[in-house]
Amino acid sequence: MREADELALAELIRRKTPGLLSLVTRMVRDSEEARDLVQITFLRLWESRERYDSRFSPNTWIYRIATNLAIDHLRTRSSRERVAEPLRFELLRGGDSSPPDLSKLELREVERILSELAERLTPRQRACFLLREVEGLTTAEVAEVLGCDESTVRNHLFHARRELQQQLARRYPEYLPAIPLGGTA
Amino acid sequence: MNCPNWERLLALRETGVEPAEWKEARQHLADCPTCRRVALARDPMLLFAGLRPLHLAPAELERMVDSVRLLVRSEGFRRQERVQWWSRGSAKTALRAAAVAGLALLSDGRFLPVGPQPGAAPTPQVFPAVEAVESSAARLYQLGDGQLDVVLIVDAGLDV
Repeated sequence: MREADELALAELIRRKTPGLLSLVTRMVRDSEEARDLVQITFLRLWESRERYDSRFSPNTWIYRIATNLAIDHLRTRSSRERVAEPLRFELLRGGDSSPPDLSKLELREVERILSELAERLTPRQRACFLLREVEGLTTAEVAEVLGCDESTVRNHLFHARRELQQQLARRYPEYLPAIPLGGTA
Repeated sequence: MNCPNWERLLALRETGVEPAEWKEARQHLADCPTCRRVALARDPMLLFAGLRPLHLAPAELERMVDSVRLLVRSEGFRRQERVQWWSRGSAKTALRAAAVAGLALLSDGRFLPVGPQPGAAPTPQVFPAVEAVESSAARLYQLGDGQLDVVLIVDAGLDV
């Protein structure tokens, strides 16, 4: 892509858009805003291709641009929407009397739970959690993406996990009867 | 992959160590209901490890490609225009001329929209443009007596 090849850019967009769009959508919780941010990510990528530092993997570089854009967007967004609790309503409507099983939740419902619970996290905590626990990056890779120390990543993760577990226990206690408030990270 | 020892793996992760087989174990979660139950009981946050990237239809991907291409080209074109405008010096000429025009207006108000005053000198006529000033956006006019050249910037979209 350094050679100003638009074909290479187009191929990169096709390969990376699903992963980037997923990450950014989960961060900003708005699909339209996420699309705009992903487009800007590729624009920034193109504009900075001459300055690419080969010490970072291309994936890290792309994720870094996208994550920083999403974090900045969250910080400047003036209002936040409260996500309704459709999952809980669906559960109450269900006729099955046996306790619901967390391991059998459909992915669509898991997305809703994550979107709802992640609202409580700061942008950085949200980014750390999504990159490590959802995208599957290592702590070192997350630190590279966010441009911070691994200890900072672990700190953000600790707080993110604790908050999410507390919210999960509070809002969906039927799933987690054994998880006390302030459960382990 | 055989079902891993989740207790060991998760204990290692909690200490900050990334077990070598973690990525494989994570993928195994999606395929093994037993492992999902065991792992989730130990760490409910693994609930979110099963989320996958959004599936986008080829048409949606191509729309993204087109949108980014348009964005790249329009940004590039905007930057190129600004560079050309400044590098030709025509912006500096227009700025100087605009300053002159401003002074002319302030000094005797000949172009202010007031009616003729009794005994006042006749309103000078603004003749058609003598020439363009290195750009279609600016025009050079001369006052009727030919003593003052005025450059007027006529393109509202001009970025100076």
